[in-house]
Amino acid sequence: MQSLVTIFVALTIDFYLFRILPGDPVSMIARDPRLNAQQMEILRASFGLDKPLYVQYLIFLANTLKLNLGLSFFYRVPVSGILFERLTNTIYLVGLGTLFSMVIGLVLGIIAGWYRGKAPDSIAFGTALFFYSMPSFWISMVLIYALAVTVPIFPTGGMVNDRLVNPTWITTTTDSLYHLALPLITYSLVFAGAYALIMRSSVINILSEDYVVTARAKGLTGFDILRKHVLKNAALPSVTLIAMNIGLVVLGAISVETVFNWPGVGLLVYQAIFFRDYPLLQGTFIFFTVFMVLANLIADMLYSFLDPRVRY
Amino acid sequence: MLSSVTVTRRLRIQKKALQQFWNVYKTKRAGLIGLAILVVLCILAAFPSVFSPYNPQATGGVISFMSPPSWAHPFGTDDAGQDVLSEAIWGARGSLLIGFFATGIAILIGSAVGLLSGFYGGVKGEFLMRVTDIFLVLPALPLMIVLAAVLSPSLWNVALVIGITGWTGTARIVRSSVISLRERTYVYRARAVGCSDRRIVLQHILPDVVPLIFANAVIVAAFAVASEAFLSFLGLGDLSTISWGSMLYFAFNMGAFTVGAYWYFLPPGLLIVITILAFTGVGYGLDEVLNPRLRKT
Repeated sequence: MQSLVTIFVALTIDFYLFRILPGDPVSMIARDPRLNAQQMEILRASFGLDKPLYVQYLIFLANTLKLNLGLSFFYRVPVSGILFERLTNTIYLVGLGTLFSMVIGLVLGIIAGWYRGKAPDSIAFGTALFFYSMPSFWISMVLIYALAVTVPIFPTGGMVNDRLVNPTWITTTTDSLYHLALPLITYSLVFAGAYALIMRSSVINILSEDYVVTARAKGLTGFDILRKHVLKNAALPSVTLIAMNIGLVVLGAISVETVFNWPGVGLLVYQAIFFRDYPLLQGTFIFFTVFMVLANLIADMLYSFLDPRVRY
Repeated sequence: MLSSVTVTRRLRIQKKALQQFWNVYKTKRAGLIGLAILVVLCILAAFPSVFSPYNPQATGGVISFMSPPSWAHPFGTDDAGQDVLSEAIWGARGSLLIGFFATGIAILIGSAVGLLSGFYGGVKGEFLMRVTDIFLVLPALPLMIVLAAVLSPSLWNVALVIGITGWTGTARIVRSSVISLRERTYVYRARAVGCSDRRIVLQHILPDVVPLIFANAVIVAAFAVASEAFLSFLGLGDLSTISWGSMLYFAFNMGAFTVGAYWYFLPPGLLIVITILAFTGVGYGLDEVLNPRLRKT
């Protein structure tokens, strides 16, 4: 319910924001000086711009529900089509990247939290903090410079090599993996830092709980305490915190895809801004908003599943 | 009207509190280092013309485009022949200015929303709470991009956009603190002697959440500096103002990283990292002073 209201509010803001823009879609799309006023009027009517504002709003809501997100100025095809086409590429990169960064981050965070104040903590915590503070698009540039330009191990960007000779499925697969490697490494590194910081603080919180002291008093070894008492309980706050940081995923998709020229939804945002393609920008806005709200909803449900004490 | 005696007494109490605060804070290394870095950056940002060797917008005259670091240009020059070191120093002004204003806006909105929605109970409180909740879960990042794309890119608009999308964290923290504060005895007492809501909120509750707001402001500031860079990178920043973000925008669009011009994109990025780390360090320092649970261990 709450999620529906949020999406509705977002859509309303979205609608009004794009209405206050200087110049309507028609003047953007039809820069041809040979068009006369009458033809412009017909074009405007075809976009529904001659109707009163509230009618336009209702049409906008209905269209959005029908996944009709309008026509891209630049690509001249429906926005929803491009979005779905690009989505798979984003899922490869962001899905795998999130998985990797969570695994690396959680392990680093557990080590740091467990050895709080000792050498392993300083190293893990320092590294995590350093990566967390980096603008993700900047570290992408640095890694391309280091690992694709100076030492040319990886390609500088893109997703496939179009000039493969006699491509077989083996060469195309290797080629795809080869192109995926560096963006994936970049994405994982950047967000591992964030997840490590989250995990570290939740492990530290739990280590000060009475039941950990009890476990220690019972004579359990360090590893048993960690496995049986700390990790299970640390998972809870981590789930919500990771969901609350779902913005990171969107941020990562946009920055990493843009710098690596990876044709996903994130690069679409950059292109929409670059070409002043407002329907496309609007489409990506709706897409990311719905995605983030849904992610929060899932996290809430997951939380009540993991912790039976919580009931909504 | 406050009598002068009350004023001096209040000042003395505040001075003592500050002294105590500093005594704890100065034992925290991260906080001190962070503070030192921020002071240096603020001095650079305040007097950039004193420290930068060149006019950052002077294009050289000699053929000096994209030249690597040399004695004349320690950080090299960019694709317009401008001295990168000078740009980086002037960029501190742009980035910190936007960060400062954005933080101010975010903290102002966040504190006001947090105070109001936390203070009122009953139907009014419930309503405020619901409305706030909707905005708290509204995804900030897409909204920030769209707002920035719609508004014309000036320094103030960029700060405004970051401010009005970055207040939710502050609101959340202030609200949860106010909810517990409003049940304190001194608030009941104030109400019993006939204080207005306005007076209770401003005179009795606000002073107790101010330290919290300050600690939060540091985190918001780090967010603001990072957001400025991100918006500029997308081409939504004010590209006529030199900031670390706009430097990175140009470096990215000229493909500085593919032609090997490391001197072009490394300095602004590193400065952003250092700034964010410094804010984080100060944040940790403040946290340890203000949060006794952390201090004990």
